Amino acid sequence: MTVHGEELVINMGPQHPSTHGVLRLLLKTDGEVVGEALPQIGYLHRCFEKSAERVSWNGVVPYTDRMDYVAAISNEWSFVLAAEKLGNATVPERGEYCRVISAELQRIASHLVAFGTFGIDMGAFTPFLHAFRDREKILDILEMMSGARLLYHYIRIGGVMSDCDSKICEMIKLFIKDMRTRLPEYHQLLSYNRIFIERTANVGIITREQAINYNITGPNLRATGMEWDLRKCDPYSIYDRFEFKIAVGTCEHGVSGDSWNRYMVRLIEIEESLKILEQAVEQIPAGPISAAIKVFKPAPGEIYARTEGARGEIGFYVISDGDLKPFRVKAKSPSFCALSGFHEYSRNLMIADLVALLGSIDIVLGEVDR
Amino acid sequence: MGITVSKTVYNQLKTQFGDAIGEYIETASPFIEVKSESIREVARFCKELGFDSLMCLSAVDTKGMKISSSPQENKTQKPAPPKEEIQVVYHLNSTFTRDKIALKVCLDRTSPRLPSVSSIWGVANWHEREAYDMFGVIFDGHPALSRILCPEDWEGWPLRKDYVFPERYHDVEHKRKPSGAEFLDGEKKQ
Amino acid sequence: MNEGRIEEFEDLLHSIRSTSTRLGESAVAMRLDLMLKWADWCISTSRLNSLWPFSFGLACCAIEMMATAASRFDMDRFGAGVFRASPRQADLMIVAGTVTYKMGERVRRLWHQMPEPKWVIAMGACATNGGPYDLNGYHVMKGVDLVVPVDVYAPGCPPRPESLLNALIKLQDNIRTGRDRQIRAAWERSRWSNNTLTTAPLTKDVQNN
Repeated sequence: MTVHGEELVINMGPQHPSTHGVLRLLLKTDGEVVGEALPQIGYLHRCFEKSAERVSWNGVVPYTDRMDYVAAISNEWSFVLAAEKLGNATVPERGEYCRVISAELQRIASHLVAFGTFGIDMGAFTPFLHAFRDREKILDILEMMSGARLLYHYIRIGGVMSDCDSKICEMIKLFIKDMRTRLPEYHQLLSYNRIFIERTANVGIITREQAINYNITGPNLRATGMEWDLRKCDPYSIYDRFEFKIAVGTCEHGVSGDSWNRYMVRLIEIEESLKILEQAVEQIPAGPISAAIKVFKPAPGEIYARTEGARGEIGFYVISDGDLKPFRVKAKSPSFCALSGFHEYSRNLMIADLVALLGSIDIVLGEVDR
Repeated sequence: MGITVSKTVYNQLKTQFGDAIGEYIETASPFIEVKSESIREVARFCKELGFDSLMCLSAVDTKGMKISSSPQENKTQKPAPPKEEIQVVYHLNSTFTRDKIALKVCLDRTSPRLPSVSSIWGVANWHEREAYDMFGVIFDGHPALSRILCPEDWEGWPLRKDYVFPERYHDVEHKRKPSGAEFLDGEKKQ
Repeated sequence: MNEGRIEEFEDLLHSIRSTSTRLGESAVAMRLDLMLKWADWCISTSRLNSLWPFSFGLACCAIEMMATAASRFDMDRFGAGVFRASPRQADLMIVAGTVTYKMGERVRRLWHQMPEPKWVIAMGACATNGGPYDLNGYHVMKGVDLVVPVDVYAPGCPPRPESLLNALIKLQDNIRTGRDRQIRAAWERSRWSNNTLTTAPLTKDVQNN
């Protein structure tokens, strides 16, 4: 028998520790059960698309950094890919390798943040400290490559900003070795922790139909068991040269598409990214890192380019009218799509489980609001 | 992948809908022009063809465009600026065949209006709200068409090319001006 | 506080008690003034060494704020590691990120909800003056000091953790010298203190809730 009480509307956010930024949720609750959760966004609407229309082609790249600030390089790459396709620019071999190395490092860093903050959401503070300790090592490498810690402006149209030299390659090799010993630690600390499993397995299930209907991509889609990774399905750059598996939900605990599987996909992806890094560092050829482009002025045309970011498919619809500035830049962000169906898969969850769902989707509000 | 697929999809759409589909122009990234009244039917047909996810829905304001981004039909003609209109572009993706196509709807700039596709792809709901928020495009049949990024009481359509930046929002000035308080003076006196 | 100073303070109290009957009133006033100075020093020293930040991440800078609080940089060394999720329990607001108009009203409201004394650090270029969104950000507020008084500005986009720690040390210096009160008073006199971002000014009721 179910007892229905009075419906109560609760405001969660925009200032709330587990909404990962400035998301506001309107919860229509019946006791502890959430009948409907309506996300209200726009608290970080920073006018990316207007700014992009008013700066030069290369000037857009720093703004794309600030969209998804946890995984900046994957955003840069997506925009630069679109611009290069429009302008028929070619990238030297070594430049492509530098891009792959930086993007995979960034993916690991982003998943580490997701791991740490999801731990906090679930009431475990220690994983956060472990994750950030290891993330600092990646930031050191990226800092040597680009000079910045968080927002890099590393990938430029026609190549990259600076070289990934032998010293950095050595650092990466050390990091790979170190990270491989850390991963079992993470599993011990959080993944197979009894309390953690109880709180996340079978909680906040997103089915494959829902995921495709709401165009959820990246780890959240793969957690439903679907093998969809743009690095394999629609290969760009040089990803067809590397051997790696598409990480999918393992269903060791819970069912496919639940919070635990979404979390686990990220940890498996860290392993796969380490594999790509290892191969890239071995294979990297000598040569120039960037094509010499003095003034980038693509011919009129339009393009939709997409890459696999840490949160899913990052797409840029770019229109050029033959000017020094892009005419229109529309960013399709994975978090925006993942959040657009939130009212559907949060139905009839407990409020505490809502936090598990939100934390495991791993949204970045800068990307949702742009 | 790409061009050949679009051509076959185009032929299927043309036989199904006839006049509602515009002419096919071959380019690096082709799109299919659709009349605004029939976009919902075309979208539903595309979904039946296997395009099960909507990657991106964007609105474009072509006012002030120097040279049209869509290729000219007559190559000998000098490139001309396009008509001033609002375009809504749908990028579709098939998770079975891994094909991509783009549909484009051109609308009148003064009162852009077209049927909503949010009943076909769930993700279109928020994309359409964003297009409404930024360009003032009205989607008929949308469940809750309201501003999504800007506050409810925002005025104007920010991403239109003729948008004038506001002077102030409520009582906060848009351009940063001196506050009127001398922070440093008091310090110097000490 | 070191032990010697406590003894000194007790001596002072004792001497006031014993001498106030013998000496004239001016001497008493002088000694009371000294005593107040000591009390002030005690209070400000304890305040500046236990700042409780309000975990208020808005954008990119929030990630650097997290990094500052995490393993390598460890903000706890400066006594400011107790991040509170509620404004009621915090006395330092680190505005980490871009403040938009939609959020600006909330920022002001949250600031009102914090108990006195309270301080604000504007972290990063966006919170200082709009940063990269200064020219084209129609929805970005050009600096958080338009709605709340800012004690220290941390430069950078985003500021490195060292920069945030430097801002914290600067704030501690301000509290030590009492400059924070001057800054607050100057802001209260300025035009910006009247900005509310709502059509109706915040009522007393809202401020208390």
